[in-house]
Amino acid sequence: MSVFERKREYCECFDTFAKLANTLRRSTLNCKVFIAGHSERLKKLLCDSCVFGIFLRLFRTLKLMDRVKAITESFELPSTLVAREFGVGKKKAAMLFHPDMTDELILRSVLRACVAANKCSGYEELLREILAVSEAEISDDSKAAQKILSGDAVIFLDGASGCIVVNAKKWDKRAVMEPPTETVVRGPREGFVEDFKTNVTLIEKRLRTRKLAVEKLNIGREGNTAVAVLYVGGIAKKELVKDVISKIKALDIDAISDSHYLVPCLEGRPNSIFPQVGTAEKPDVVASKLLEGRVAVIVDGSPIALTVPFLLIENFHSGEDYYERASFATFLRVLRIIAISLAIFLPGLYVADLTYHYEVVPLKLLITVLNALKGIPLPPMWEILFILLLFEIIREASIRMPKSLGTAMSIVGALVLGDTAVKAGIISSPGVMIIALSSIALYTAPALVGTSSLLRVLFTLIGGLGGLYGLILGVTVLIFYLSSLNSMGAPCLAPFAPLIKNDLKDGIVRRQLLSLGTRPEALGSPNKRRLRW
Amino acid sequence: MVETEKRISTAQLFTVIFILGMGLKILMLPVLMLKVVGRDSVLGLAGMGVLELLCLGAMLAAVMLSPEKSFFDMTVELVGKAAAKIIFAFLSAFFFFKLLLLVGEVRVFFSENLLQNFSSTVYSLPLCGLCVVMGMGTLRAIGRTSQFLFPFIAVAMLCLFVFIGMGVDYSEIFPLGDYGFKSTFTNSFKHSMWFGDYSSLVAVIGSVRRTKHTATAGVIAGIIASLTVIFYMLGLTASFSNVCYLLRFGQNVTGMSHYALGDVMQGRLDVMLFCMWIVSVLVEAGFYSFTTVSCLEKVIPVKKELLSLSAGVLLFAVLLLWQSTSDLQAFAINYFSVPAAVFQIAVPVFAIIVTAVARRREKKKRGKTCGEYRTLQTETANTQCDVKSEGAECEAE
Repeated sequence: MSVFERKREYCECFDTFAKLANTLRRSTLNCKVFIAGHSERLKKLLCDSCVFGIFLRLFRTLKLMDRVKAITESFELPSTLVAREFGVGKKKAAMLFHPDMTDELILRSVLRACVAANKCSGYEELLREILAVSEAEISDDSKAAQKILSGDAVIFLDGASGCIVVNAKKWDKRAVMEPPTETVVRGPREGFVEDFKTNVTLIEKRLRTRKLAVEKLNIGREGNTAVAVLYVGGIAKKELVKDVISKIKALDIDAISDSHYLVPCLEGRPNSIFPQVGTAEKPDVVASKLLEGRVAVIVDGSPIALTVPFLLIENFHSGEDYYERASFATFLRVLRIIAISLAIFLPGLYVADLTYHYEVVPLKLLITVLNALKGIPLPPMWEILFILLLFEIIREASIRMPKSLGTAMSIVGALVLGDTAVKAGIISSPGVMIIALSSIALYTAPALVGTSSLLRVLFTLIGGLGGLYGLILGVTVLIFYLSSLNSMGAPCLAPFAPLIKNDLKDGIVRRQLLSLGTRPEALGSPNKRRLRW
Repeated sequence: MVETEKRISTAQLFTVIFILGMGLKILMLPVLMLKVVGRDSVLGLAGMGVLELLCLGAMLAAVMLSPEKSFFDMTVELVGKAAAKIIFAFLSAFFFFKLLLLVGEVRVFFSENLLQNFSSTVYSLPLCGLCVVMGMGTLRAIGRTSQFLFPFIAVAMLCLFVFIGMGVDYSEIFPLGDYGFKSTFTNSFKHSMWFGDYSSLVAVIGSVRRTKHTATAGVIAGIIASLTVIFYMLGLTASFSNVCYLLRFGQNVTGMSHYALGDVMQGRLDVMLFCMWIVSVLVEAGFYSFTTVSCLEKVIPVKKELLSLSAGVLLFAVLLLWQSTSDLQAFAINYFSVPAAVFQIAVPVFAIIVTAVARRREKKKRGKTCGEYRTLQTETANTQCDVKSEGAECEAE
C-alpha cells in the first residue's frame, strides 16, 4: 500500500471517527469499543500503534472541543454560556459556565489552581487541586448541562470521560428571618427562605442524626427544580416515604415555581376544599413533624415546606403551643376551635335565626337586634352576603395594593364604607358586627382561611334558604365528608374519628411535654416511643 | 374478605348501635303510642324494647361469629347465588321502607318545630340529598361520622334529660295498666315498623374489628339507647298523658323540654339542643341509606354511586307522591306491622344461622388445611429423621 493510499485511508478513518464522535458524544473508550465492534477496517488500522496514537490525539482534541460545542449548541442561544480553554500540565482542559449564575472569584481561584498544577493524569488528580479552593465532584457528561444551569461550572479534561462539577453558584438570597405567617412570642424565630440548600441545612442543623434522609429529586422538564424529600429513617413509615416519592416523581410538568405545585400530587382528593397537605415556614416545626413520623418536602425557590400526612386538628395547632405551658396551650387551642366555628357558622346562624327562628334568640337581644334592623331594605341573608362581599373585596385589595396605600384603604374600607353604609341604612350594625367578628376569628387558623371563607359563604346561603334545618343537614354532610377524607392514608379527623386515645394527649388538649411519650398513632410510625421519663 | 382498614372499630360500632337504637324511636314513636295506649305506652315500649335487645344480641352474636367475610358471601355459600340475591332484594326493600318512614318523620319534625311555612318538597330534597351522599359512602365513613358526632349528641341529650327531669312531674305516669296488658302489647306490636332497627346491622357483619369487648360494648349501647327512649316516653307520658289530644307531631322532645324550661327570656335553648340531637337521626337515615344501597348492590351489580342516586330519586318521588306522613305511618301500622315483626325477628335469626354455618365451614377448611399441614410436617420430620439416622449410620460405618 502506497503512502498516498495509507494517508487517504487515514483521512477516511478520521472522518468516520469524527462523525461517530460527534454523533455519539461519548468518551474515547466508548467510541473505540463502538468502532471496534462495527468497523473491521478501523479495527485493522487501530492495531497499528503508531496510527492509533495519531488517531487518539486527533480524537481527543476533537472530543474536548466537540463536547464543549455540543453543550453550548444545545442551548437555544449558545452565547448564554462561556467556555474557557486552559492547560493543566501538558493536557488541555475547558471550563464551561453560566456567567450570570456563577461566582467569578471562585472561578478564578479554580482556574488558578488548575493552571498551577504541574501534572495531571486524570480527573482525580485535578479534583484534588480544585478541592483546595472550592467544592467539587466528578460527574457524568450527561449531567453537565443540568449542572451548568444550576449555577455550577463544569471542567472537561482532554481525553478523559466525564467532567468535574465545581460549585460556583452565586445568586442573591434572602437572609433567614422570622416568617410573616408564623410569628411567635416564644420559640425559635428562624424561617425558611427561597434557597433550597439553606432550608435543608436548617432542618439538618436541628436533627443531627444519621437517620435523617434527604432524598433529592429534580422535577420539571424545563425547570429541573430541586426537590428534597426529608424523613427520619425508622420513624417514618416506609410505605409513606415510597408513596410520597413515587407521587412526586410521577409529576410530568414544565416547571414548578413553588412547593404548592406539588400539593395536588400528594392529596388524595385534590378538588377538596380542605387541605390534606400541611405547610410550614419554620424549620423547628418541620423538624418536630419529622420526628412524629411525617415526611417533609422542600422545593427550591419556595420558603414553604410541605408535610404529610396532615390531620385536620393540625390547623388548630401552632408551633408556639409546645413552648408554652400545657394549660395555656390547651386554652389557646380551644379558643382557636371556637373562633373557627364562629367564623364559619355565626353568619349562617344569624341569618337562620333572623329569617326563621326568632324564638331561639333571647327576648332582650331580639328586641335590640330588631330595632337595629328597622329600615334595612335587604333581607338578612342578602345583607350578610353583601357585607361578606364588601369584606372580601377590602381584604383582597389590601393584600394586593402597595403598602403605603394599605393603611389609608383600611380606613376607607372599614370606617368610611362600613360606617357610612350603616348610617345610610343599607346594612345594619349587628350585621357588620357579625361579619367583623367572623372575619377576625377566621385568622386564628391561618391555614384554614381559604376553606373557612368558602364555608362561611356556603353556610350563610344554607342558613338563609333552609334555616337551622339546612344548617344541621349541612353540618352532617360536612362531618361525613371529613370522615371519608384521608391524608396519605391517615384519617383527617384523627384522633377523634377514629378515636385514638393516645393521640388525644396532643389533640385539643395538650398534655405537658413529658407525658407525650409516644408518637401519633394515626401516622403509623414503626417506632412508637419517643420519650422515656 | 373485608380489608382490615375498611372495618369499623368497636367504639364506632357502639355509637352506631346507640344511634340506631334511639333515633327513629324518640322521633315519633312516643307520640304515636301515647295516642293509642295512653300511659301504658311505657310498658309497651319496655316490652318491645326487651324483644329488640334480644334481636340486638343475635345480631351481635352474628357479628362475633362471622369469619371476616361479607354477609352476602356467607349467604351465597349457604343458599346459593340466586336465593341470596332474592334475600338481599327483600332486605333492601325493607330498609328502603324504614328509610322512607324515617325521612318522612324527620320532614314532619322539622316542619313542626322550625320552618312551618315551607313546603314538604323543599324539606324532602335536601334530606334525599343527604341520603344519596351517605349511601355512596363507606361504612368506615359512617362509623367515623357517628363517632365524631356522638359527644355532641350525648351532651344535647344529657341537657334535655336535665331540663325534662327537672320540669316534669313523674307521678303523672300512674296509674299504669288501664288499657290491659293484652291490649297494650297488641297495640305496641302494631308499631313493629319502628322497632327492629338493629336488623340493619347486617351491613356491618364481617366489617368490624372485633375485640373481646365488642359484644359487651354493643349490648351496653343497646341498653343505654333503650333506657333513653323509655326516659323520653316517661317524660312525654308525664307531660301529656291527660291531654293526649293536644299532642302533635314533633312535640315529644322540643315540646317537653320547652315546657320544662318555660323561660322565654332566655330564648329557645331547647331548639338548639334538639338541633344537636337531631343529627343522630340524620346519621341513622344515612346508615339506612347505606344499608339499602349495599344490599341493592349485591342484587344489581352496577356502580354504587348510580344505585345511591337512583335510590335517592326514588325516595324523593315516593315522598312527593306520599306527602302525608300520617298516611305513611297509618300504612306502616295497619299493613306493615306483621311483615315488619317477622323481619325484625327473621333477620337476626337468619344472620346467626348464616354466620354459624360459615364459621363451621371455615373451621373445617382450616382444620383440613391444618391437618394437611401437620401431615406434611410429620412426613417431613420423619424423612428428616430417616435422613439423619441414615447419616448417622453412614458416619458410624
